[in-house]
Amino acid sequence: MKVHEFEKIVNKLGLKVRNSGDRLAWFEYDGQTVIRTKRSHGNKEQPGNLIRQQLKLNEKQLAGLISCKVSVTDYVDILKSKGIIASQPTQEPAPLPNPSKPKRV
Amino acid sequence: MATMSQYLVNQSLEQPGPKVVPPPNAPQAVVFDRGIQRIRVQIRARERRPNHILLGTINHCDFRVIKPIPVHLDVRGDTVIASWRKIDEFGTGTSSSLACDDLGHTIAELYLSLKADEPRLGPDLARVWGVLKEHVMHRP
Repeated sequence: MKVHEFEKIVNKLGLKVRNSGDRLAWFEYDGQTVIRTKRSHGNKEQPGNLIRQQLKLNEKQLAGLISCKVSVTDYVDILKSKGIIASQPTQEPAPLPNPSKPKRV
Repeated sequence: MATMSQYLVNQSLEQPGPKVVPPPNAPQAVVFDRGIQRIRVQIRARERRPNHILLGTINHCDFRVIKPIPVHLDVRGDTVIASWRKIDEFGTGTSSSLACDDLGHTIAELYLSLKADEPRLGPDLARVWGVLKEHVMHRP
C-alpha cells in the first residue's frame, strides 16, 4: 500500500490521527473508538495486508475504499455486520407519569 | 588444532616428552591403521530465519512482558515485518530485531492509548485491551 492510498483512507473515513514514532490513525463511531491502524513515516511501501486486517476489510472492500466504491456508510455497515461496531442497545421507553395520581408533596 | 596434532603425534609415535591430554569432553584422536580412501561430507542448508518467535521483552522501560508474545516474522523485499496476529498489530524494520523493536514500541503505545480510552472502546478494541493486559504489565 502506498502512503497516498493510506492517506486517502484516512481522509475518506475521517480517521483521527496522531504523529508519534509512527502515524497512528483511529476510527471513532458514536463516541466509541472502534478500530485503529498505523503507518510508518516516510514514503516507503506500507504492509497493505496488515493495514487491511486492522481496518477489518477483505481485499475487495479495501480496493473499493481506495477507489471510492465503498463509502463511509458502507464501511460502517461492514463493521456492524462483523460485530466490530456494537448494535445500539434497545432501551425500553421510560414510563410516563400517570396523570390520574396526583403527586404528594 | 595444533594441540590435537601434537596429541596425534605423541600417541602414534610414542615420542618422548610431555604428552598433551585432551579434556574428556573434547573429541578424542583416532589413529587409523589404513590410509583414508573415502570421506563422507554432509553439507547442511543454512539455517533459515524462523517464522515464529516468542517475544519476552519489549524495548520500553515502563513495560514488562508477563506472558511471551507470539510473533510472526515475514519478509517483504528488504523489510522484515513482525506481527502479533491475535491483535493485528505489527512492526517493521530492516532486520528481525529492528522489526521486533518497532512492534514493542507499538505495543507500548497501544497499551497507553487503550488504557486512556478504556471506557469508550468498541468490542474489538476491548478484546485487544484484554489480550494486552494478559501479556504486558505497565510499571510507571
